[in-house]
Order: sequence, then C-alpha cells, then structure tokens
Amino acid sequence: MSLTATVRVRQGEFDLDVDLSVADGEVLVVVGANGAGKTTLLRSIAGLLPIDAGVITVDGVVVDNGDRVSVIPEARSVGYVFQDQRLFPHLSALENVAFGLAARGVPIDDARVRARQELDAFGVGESADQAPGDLSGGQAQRVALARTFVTEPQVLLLDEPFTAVDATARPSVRAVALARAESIGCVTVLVTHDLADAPILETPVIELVNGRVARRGRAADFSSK
Amino acid sequence: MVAAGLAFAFIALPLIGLLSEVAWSRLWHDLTTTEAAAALRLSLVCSLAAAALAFALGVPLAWVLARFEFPGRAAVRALTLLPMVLPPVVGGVGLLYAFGRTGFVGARLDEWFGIHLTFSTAGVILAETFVALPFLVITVEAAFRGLDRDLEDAAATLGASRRTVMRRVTLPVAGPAIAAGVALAWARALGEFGATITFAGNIQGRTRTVPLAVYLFLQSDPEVAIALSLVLVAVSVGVLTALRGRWLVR
Repeated sequence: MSLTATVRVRQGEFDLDVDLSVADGEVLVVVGANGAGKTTLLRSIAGLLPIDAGVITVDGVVVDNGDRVSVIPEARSVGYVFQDQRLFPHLSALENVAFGLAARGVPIDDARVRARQELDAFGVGESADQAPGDLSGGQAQRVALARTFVTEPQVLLLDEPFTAVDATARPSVRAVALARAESIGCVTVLVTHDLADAPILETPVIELVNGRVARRGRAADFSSK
Repeated sequence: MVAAGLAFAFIALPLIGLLSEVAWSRLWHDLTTTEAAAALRLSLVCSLAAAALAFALGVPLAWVLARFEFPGRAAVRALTLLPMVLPPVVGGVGLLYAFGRTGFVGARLDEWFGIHLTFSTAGVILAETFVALPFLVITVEAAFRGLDRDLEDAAATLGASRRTVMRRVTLPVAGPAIAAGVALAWARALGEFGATITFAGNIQGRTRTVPLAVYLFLQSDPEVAIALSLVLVAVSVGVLTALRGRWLVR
C-alpha cells in the first residue's frame, strides 16, 4: 500500500500546494498552525474536495488528477477520522461503527459483531448502546476511531484524532490506533499538534505553513527543535 | 401593553365565541349525521393524501433548492412559496385553467386517459396539495440547509453511496423537520377552502370537505357547523402543540 499526492487546491484567497508520499505501512505526520491547510489536504485526499491540479494515487492507481479522473469518496477505500468526530446523532455508538460495514454490504448481524469488537479494542465497548449525545468527548473520539478502523481502509486520514481524549488515556488510545493501523497494513496521514503522537522518532513529518510544505524531516528533528 | 392585550383578545375572542356556542351534549350526534360524517371522512382522506403528495414532491424540491445552484433558483423558490400568500380562490382559478377539462394539462388528461380532475375527489387532493406544498418545502429546505455536511461526508468516506447517505443519514437527521413540514402541510390541507371550492366544487361525499360543509351548514344548521369547526380547532391546536413540543422541533 502506498499513497502519493501532489495537491493544488484554490479556495478563495487560500492556495494549497503540497506534495507528499507515504510508503507501505508508514505513518506521515502533518503539523502546522490552524489555517495552514491540513484539513483541506486531508479532504482532498479523501475525495471530499476536488483538486484543481496535481495527482493523487493510492497503491499506484490514480484516484484524482484534477481533470478527468476523480474517484468518488465512497470508492476510494480512504478512512477519515474527523477532528470533531461527526458521529451520526441518530444512531447508537454501535450502529455508528457498524454503518460503514453495512454500507459496504456486510450483513448487519456480522457488522454489529465486528463493530462491537472494534469498540472493545478502543475501550468503549460498554458505551455501545449509548447515543453520541450522551458520550463524553473522549468516548466519542474513540467511537469515531472505531467507526473508521472497522472498515480497514487502505489509506487512513486522521485529523487531530486524540485531542478530545484526556491526557491520561491518550497514550493507550494512540497505541491501539497505531497497532490497528499496522495490522490493517494501511498508510496513515496523521494531522496533529502533538509530536508525541508520532509512533517512532524516525516517523516522517511535514510542516505546513500557509498551504505550503515549509519543512520536511523526522519526528526526532522536529521535537528537538 | 394595552395594544398587546387587544391583539391577544382579538385572536382569543373568536375562539371563545365558537366554544361558547358548542352544544356539547349533542356534539357526538352532530358530528355523526350523514352529511357531517361524510365531510369528516372526505377531509381526512384528502388531507392525508395531500400531505403524502406534498411529502413525495416537496422533499425532492426542497433538496434541489437547498443543495443545487442553478440560474433562476431564487425565482423558482419564490414561485414555490407563492401559494402561501396567493388568495386560495385565485389558486383555484389557476388550477381550473391548467388541470380543468379545458385547461392545457386537463384537456390532455381527458384526451389520453379519460381523467377528469374537476369536481372529483382527486381534484380536492390536488387543490389541497397546491396550497399545502409550500409549507413543507420551506420547512424542509431550511432543514437541509442547516444540516451538517460533514455527516454526509463522513458517511461517504465510510463507503456509503449517495443513495445510502440520503436514506441512512440525511433523511433521518432531517427527520424531525420533515415531520414538522408534513404536519404543517397536513393542517393547511385540512383547512383548505378557496381553491377547493373553485376547482373541485361542493359535492357531498365527493368534494365537500369539512371547511366547505361548515360554510354550508352555517346557513342551514349552525349547530353542525359549530361542531365541525370545533374539530378543525382541535386539530390545529394539536398540530401546534406537537410542533412546539420536543417531538418535532428539537
């Protein structure tokens, strides 16, 4: 599995111009100030925002070239964990997690079994029947992670996925997420403010400033600064 | 303060007037006379059919108005909402010249299918839908506009097709507003008078709905007219209560 993206997106005054590549099973960390274009980048890779120019490939297959080719999000095998979870408010935590499997044609009973396992993996199995409105921020974040991971996407896009989890629980949630990503064998793009989220010191990191890659390096280089 | 009190009294007094005239002991008898019962039955069937038709046509229209930019969208929206302010009689005249036997659509319906809408129950449903549809469209369009698009995006990245997103996310999340729109449309259809009598006429058991019967009975048998009016008041109050309660508007 691999991801390459050369992305040019113009949104009014804002210009995003980024290229990146993530190798098989690797995690790429993206840091940058608010408004640097991190979320825009993830949305374009997910297919939620068409690119104006450039090319995005997943496993060597072009999914968007800013022109004729633009694979719709549901056909991209891209998982996206939104910054503020965006759980479906009318469905229980369990049904939220089963949603993606059911949408891909998994029989609903099987989908629920796998959803429950995923919730257990993220430590929120006991919240399965709760409505999203009744979950704490940290619980909702874990449910959102479970909802995306259960579909085992080829590309995993995580937008500040641990921010809502309280500091004491964060290392364990992070460990579960990274272990799951490894077991799925997907490539991961992780947007974060916290370099401690990088799995290892050798993890590649890019820093966005005003829609451009201002710096590329390894987690170790960034933290030592 | 005085003006406010007068305003409230102005709304409340007719209701009190109506309630004071109700012959409570004979209410059931009045409502079950052949003519009153026929009007009630007809009104129930037609208003429910009109609400269903408004739902089937109005939700897609609200969707298009909320989600697609196209030239003339403002004009389409304005025209859609026109029946809310148009005198219903004028709406009835318009329906007559479109769907009536000599109207440009009605003539074709007659020629090709032998369908006559004027002076028929279907004509009542059509007239009621005409006046009720804008209430549904305006409510549901607002809901679609206010919907969190990220929910639909999240569903798409989870592998849901557009149809699945619509069926399992968009419509359920907008559900309370759609229910409110249907309730409003239904209440409006139930009270429809002007367009109905102009387009569909006033035939007992076929097009004489409760409002038409009230108008007619006021001259011949006011007690029945009042009893039927009471039913319409009760329904209006019921719909209003439901709309204000948690059930529909969260």
